[in-house]
Amino acid sequence: MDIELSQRSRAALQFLGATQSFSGGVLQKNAAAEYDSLVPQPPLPLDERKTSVETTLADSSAWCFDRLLTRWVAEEAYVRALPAVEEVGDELAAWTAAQTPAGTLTLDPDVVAPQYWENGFHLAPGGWDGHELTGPAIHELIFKYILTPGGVGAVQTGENLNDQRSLAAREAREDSYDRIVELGSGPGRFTHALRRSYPDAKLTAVELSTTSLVYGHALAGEAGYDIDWVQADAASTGLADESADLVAAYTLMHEVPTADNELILAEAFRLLAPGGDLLISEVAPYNMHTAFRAVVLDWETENRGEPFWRDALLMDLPGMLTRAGFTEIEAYGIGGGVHPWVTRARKPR
Amino acid sequence: MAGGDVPVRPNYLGDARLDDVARMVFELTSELWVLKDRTIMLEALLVEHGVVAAGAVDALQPTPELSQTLLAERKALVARVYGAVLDSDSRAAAALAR
Repeated sequence: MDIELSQRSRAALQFLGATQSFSGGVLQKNAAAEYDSLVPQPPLPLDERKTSVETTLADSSAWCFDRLLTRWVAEEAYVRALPAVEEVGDELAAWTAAQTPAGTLTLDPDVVAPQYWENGFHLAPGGWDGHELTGPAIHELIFKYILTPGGVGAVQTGENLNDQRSLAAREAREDSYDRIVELGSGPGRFTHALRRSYPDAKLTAVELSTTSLVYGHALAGEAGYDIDWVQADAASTGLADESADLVAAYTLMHEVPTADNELILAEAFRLLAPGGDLLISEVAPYNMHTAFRAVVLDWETENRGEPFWRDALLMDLPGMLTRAGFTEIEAYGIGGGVHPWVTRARKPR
Repeated sequence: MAGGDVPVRPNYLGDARLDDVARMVFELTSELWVLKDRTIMLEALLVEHGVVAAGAVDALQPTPELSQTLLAERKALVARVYGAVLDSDSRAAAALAR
């Protein structure tokens, strides 16, 4: 949906995008160069890397202001996007009502979200459903005006978040699947990429957030995509045993505690028919990054509302997949890079 | 090892008050942009509606009278901002003299 904002709202959000773009594209690069020149052989363990970077750059203007600006933008994103989306609330409601999605939307008013889900993710006031318009606020305004020009987390300034989703969607082993389930879909950016990659598959998107599901259902209607939307916990979807040939998840696991990720993998195994594939795209483990980059990424944990980020990047996902019963496990960066990082596996026949 | 939005907001410049001042500067810069954006939009609207010619504002040379107005406003702005470091009695006297 093309949302037209007031001058103030538009300019204020664009300013955040420009700020993040400069911070990530100039200040952070300067800080990285400073660190690399001062510490040509950095340590390997994460805690030693953190101490090394923070100590070496303690008096670096570029480092200190990159961190403060990144934090400030993350806070201000909601301070600005929520009032901005409220301004267009009536138009959004009318647009949503006017969509005629081909797929179904199954909301569960009795769904019990896991306790971890109630945290203040990404510094959003009240968490994923803290505001009735959090879905469009994030996925239209924040995505368009801030994340796309500025980058976020593992997506560096100037990289294309949608291109990365398209690349990841094509990493499943087979050229076609009959039945695909995506876990933790949000309003469907990766779901759309799956639909484009597998146009003939029955595609089911599982998500807990009501606002994301309602918005996602409408967006799919606008795009002409046949997608079924189900409100459920990714660890307990309620879908039938062996009802999928491909289960996929894009940047879901770092939003979840490790113990719950084990449950999600068990659920994926249950959902898959024998021989079915699992496709996970996430931020690469810390040991795949340079010291400076690993510390920048780890900073998300305590500074940008990503409470499970560190645990997710430290956990042994291939080992967890083995314990869950999967085989043919591979983990790699697409195109030889580091992001998106893909882990794929197969349920034995 | 969970983190998240910890109860005490992290500090980035070594002093919480310094962070506060920096945040004020960021917000001021943002307000400056919003105003500059609005000025650009306003000028575009005026050109579109034929009220002013394109480039007219850039090319405008202030008349002697306008120059005096600009000078007075410029001096007042500089005095207010840089004079903020003076004691309050001095600032009150300067304000009364304007």
